[in-house]
Amino acid sequence: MEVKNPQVAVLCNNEVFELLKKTQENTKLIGGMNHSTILYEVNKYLEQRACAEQNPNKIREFLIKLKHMPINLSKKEKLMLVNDPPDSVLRLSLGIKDFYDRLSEPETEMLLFATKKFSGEFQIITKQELVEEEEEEEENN
Amino acid sequence: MFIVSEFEEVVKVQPTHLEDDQMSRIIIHLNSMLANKVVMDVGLCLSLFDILEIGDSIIYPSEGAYFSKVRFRFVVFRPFVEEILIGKVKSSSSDGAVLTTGFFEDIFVPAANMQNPSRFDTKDKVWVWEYDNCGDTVELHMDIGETVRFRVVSEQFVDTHPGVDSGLLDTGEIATSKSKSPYSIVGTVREPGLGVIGWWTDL
Repeated sequence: MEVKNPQVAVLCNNEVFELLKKTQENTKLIGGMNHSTILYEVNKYLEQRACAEQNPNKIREFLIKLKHMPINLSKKEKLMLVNDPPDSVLRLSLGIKDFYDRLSEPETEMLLFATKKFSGEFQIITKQELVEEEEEEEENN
Repeated sequence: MFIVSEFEEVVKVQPTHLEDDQMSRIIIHLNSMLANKVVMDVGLCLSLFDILEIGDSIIYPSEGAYFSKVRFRFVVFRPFVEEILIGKVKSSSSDGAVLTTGFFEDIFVPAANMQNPSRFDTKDKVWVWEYDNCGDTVELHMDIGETVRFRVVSEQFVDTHPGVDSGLLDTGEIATSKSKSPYSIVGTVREPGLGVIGWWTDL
């Protein structure tokens, strides 16, 4: 066997989760594969992570939102925000290098609001917040 | 924490499977060959991602089987250095703690990477963070089975190919090299926000 390219792309947890679910179904169809244990173990791990409640549309929406923000985040930082959406400033600072130098306070607030919304923490958004958000979006555009 | 890697392999299909669908034979072969295996400097292979190309099949003289060159991609577990991951405590010793994700168990947090100041409780066999709360020392335990957030500091690949320690070394050396896993990760929890998840949720 030959390794052609050790890293073609990076996958987020949700993509792996969906892919493995499909593979498990295929395994039943084809049969004869002895890698069910590893599929089960990875699935069990991912089930308990944030990715189990995410879907591709939600992730795309979140990434577009991040793109419109005046904050430059690296690919890896975005990946961590998607895989493990922070719910506090402390956790935001873990995933982003030189966090306190790079982000001002309002930017931190904005990012935290976006990640919290992404992880589904605000199920009920008040009207005022909606208006504010629209204004923000308009400003960014 | 997951990546996609591209490989190439010559897949042999035995004559007994000649009437089977070629595609499913190849999928079975690749998954059986690579899933749950570590490839040097690539990572822990999990499952087939897709097949890019299947070359012409060749039958060699005096062989009933046919061989086809297949280019394919595989999902691989390979967290990058600096990545924050979540795992569970598998075991603790005075050297440090071993963490597991359920499918990968070679994550080691050495004693020097524990929260400061920490000590190892020899009676209960757990690591204890002596958190200083305005003069009062609060003891925070890192029990077995607790969910822990940690940062990847470094990774190591060791060639455990049978040829590497084929009796040329001393018996003592073989014993140490045998216990080594092909792919291991060193982690740290020595940062605010890292460690047992429950330590930080009340903030």
